[in-house]
Amino acid sequence: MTGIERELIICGVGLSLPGVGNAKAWLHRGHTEGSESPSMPSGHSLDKHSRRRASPLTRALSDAFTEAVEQAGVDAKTVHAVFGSALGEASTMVKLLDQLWKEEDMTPMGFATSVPSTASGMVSISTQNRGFTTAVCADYDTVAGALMEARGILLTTENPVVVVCGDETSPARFVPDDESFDLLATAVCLCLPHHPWPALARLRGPRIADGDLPGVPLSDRLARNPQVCLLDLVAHVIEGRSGAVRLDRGAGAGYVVDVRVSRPA
Amino acid sequence: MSLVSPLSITAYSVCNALGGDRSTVLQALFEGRSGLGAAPFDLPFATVVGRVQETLPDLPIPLASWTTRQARIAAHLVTRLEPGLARARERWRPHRIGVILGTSTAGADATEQAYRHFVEHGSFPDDYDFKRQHTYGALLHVVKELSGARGPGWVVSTTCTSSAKPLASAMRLIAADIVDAAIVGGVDTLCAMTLTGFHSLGALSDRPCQPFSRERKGISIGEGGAFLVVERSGDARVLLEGVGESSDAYHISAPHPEGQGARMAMERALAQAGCTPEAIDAINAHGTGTTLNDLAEGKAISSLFGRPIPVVSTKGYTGHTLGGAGAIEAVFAALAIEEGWLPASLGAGPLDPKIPIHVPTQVTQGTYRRVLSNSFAFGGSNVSVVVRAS
Repeated sequence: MTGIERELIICGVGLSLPGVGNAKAWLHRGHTEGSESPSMPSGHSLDKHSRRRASPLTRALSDAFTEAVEQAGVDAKTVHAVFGSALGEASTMVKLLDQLWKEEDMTPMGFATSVPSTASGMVSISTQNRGFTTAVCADYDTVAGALMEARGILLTTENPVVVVCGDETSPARFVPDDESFDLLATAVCLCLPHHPWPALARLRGPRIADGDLPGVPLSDRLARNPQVCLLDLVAHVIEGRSGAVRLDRGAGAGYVVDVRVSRPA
Repeated sequence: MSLVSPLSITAYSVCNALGGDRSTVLQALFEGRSGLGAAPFDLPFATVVGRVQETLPDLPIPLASWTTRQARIAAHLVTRLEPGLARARERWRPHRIGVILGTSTAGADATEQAYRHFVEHGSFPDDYDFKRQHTYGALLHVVKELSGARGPGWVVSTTCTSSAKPLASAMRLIAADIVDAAIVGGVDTLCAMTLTGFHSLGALSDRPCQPFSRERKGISIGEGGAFLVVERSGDARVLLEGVGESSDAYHISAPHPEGQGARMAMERALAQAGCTPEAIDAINAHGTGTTLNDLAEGKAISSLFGRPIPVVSTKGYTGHTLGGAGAIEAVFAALAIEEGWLPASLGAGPLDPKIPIHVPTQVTQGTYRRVLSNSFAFGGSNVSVVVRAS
């Protein structure tokens, strides 16, 4: 059995969708999305200093991370974390470009928080996590890449790992309106079968597979988020549905994972 | 006990301000010749940079719309890697060769120029494609297409540890039997935004950087990258033996003042390599030339090693290549083992007496069986890499 075929345990899930709050609230609402005036993600577990500087994306990633960690009951100070995002802090970068070409002074904190690893850094500072965190990008295969990185970490360190994937839309000037999408961050906490944390579901993969596997019905704006397939995976877990889950909604290399639910989240 | 095993470094390629091939880079390091020079941008402050001077290849026509300076440096690196890559492709199936790369800038230089066009003309240039030229995944796509590797892949973007972390990822993926080999490394390119950003942080030197010198004034930024082929087994003069990672959990843009996270990364690298500090013969320091970074790293090294082990920073040659630095300096560590000498720590004199480490200011001949290389980054991301003679 290769490492990719070994079964992992999903022991916690998290979701940050503006206007909805968390994974349980999303399930309770029957998958409907946020209110007409979506709220800014709270970033409640970030320290005050970080929260003040955090973008909506970093807040959303932090919120999803926290929900997954709390549900699993793992230690936020030692759990490893893989943050995935195709575009990173693109809106912060555009602010810097504006400052650059308008010959305004660049804000040092703006520069320091314009990188894809901003959430990784702020979460580790806020939780005092001295394990290690990382930030990965692979366009529409980011979820697959993040799960693969987590699998490698889990199988070689035997420590639980949180995978948190999210994106906020490309700045309007860079993409047409019909390609923009809504902010979303989703998380799963993974551990090994012999670990003591609750087994919500068992996971195999990612593996490449042909065939159409429809995701959760969502608005076009949310469905276009490159990280939406981690929400599809979380939906299986919280609704108690076993089966294969596509990780790219047709836009990537064709990775799927197989989920076998032990008990609904 | 570590669950990972050493990997064979069966090929590598490197490109930076010193040159685009092993022998040119080696010659410059031996001669103590810096690649730092004038910045290719109009900037409202003084600085010097390490710019790649190599003539870079065009991308093949099917990849033309992915063209950026980063992609062209990557294409150069893949070409230089090809003999080793060909052997790896013969040995392992393409879907068992992973591609794990790092970058902090991605295609920021292309976006920066396109944005200038947008500001001046109200539209982006016709040949600018945000998805294919700006995004972090673009590097991955180009390298996968050029290399023929079809295994899992992603890009790590953790600023200055971006191209060191893929070495850790590859060790894990191979240990977990997900792949048998991987192309690892990373590339960053110069852009005005990065230079201005480091200037805003007060971290940029107005003259060539002087890591570990009492006269150091900050960083000189560089560009470039390196790719390595690492395999489960194979003929190699140097092995990748251990990689340690940690978080400072301290500050978004400053290191822990005592270097706690840095020390933890080095300890973890040694643990994974299964060796003690006494087994390390030399250190390639992160050594950026800022007051805080060099002091913190010096304290971390001194507290862990407790003896005058040679510590060299190569930033005075190449500049700080940010997301390319981890891989470039892992190659420099391998070169020390292969060649039996360490370059002088360029610009280090006069040494800072507050930094309690041994920094050679001349080429040092010796037998280097095991070398450690450090990379530290924004957000307190720390990585240490141990390579050893096979």
